[in-house]
Amino acid sequence: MNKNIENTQYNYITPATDIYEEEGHFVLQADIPGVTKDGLDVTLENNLLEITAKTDPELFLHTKESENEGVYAYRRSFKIDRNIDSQKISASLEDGVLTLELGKSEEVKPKKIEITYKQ
Amino acid sequence: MLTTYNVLQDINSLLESFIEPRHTVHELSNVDFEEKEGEITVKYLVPGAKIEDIDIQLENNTLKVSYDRKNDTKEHRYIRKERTSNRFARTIKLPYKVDGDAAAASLKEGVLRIVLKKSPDALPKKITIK
Repeated sequence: MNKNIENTQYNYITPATDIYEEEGHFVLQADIPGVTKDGLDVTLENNLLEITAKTDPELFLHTKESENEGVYAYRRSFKIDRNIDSQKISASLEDGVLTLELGKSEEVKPKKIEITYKQ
Repeated sequence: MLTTYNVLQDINSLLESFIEPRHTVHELSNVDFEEKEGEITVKYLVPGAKIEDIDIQLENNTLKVSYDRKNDTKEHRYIRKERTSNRFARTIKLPYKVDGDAAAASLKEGVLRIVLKKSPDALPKKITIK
């Protein structure tokens, strides 16, 4: 960890985000171009899902200005409800797009109820 | 499903009111142009783009870049839909003639970077007096 981290000025950007539903999970996709795996941080604490993604100054835009302006970082937070199982969250980064798969809680998954036929 | 609307509640607006004033949300352009000592660097933010989605044309002193994210047509059951940047076409008029053979492009982490060098024809020439 950079010991000068306290002095680094970040300019926060809100990443455009899609969320959609699939069979057993929800998918969250956020555009974070210019971020490598090292700059990415996804945390979940007290139902608060926080995405922080620091751009690589070499890779990102405005390289010249960033010396004065600080580093650009994406940040966005979501409050997750009981529909999501916090133990079933996975993340991947590809081509500047962060994809999170958030598993549905067992309690909200549709259940098939077996019917006993009595004669 | 009744509860999906709040399944991932966006609390950015709520957070913004608590964070320190030095943190600001920037609205950024997705193109950056830089000229330095005969070298031009153009960068584009193209999250999700594959190499085959991008077309770059250099003609005289005009740079044309077009992008079409072809593999992203699948329909989903969206709860939130904000990502839109799946196609664009931009033309940039360059300040001088560039050397087409020395042009280079790379794509990394959703950032397209094109580096162009000033053409020898456009460099100043010293004329010797006979």
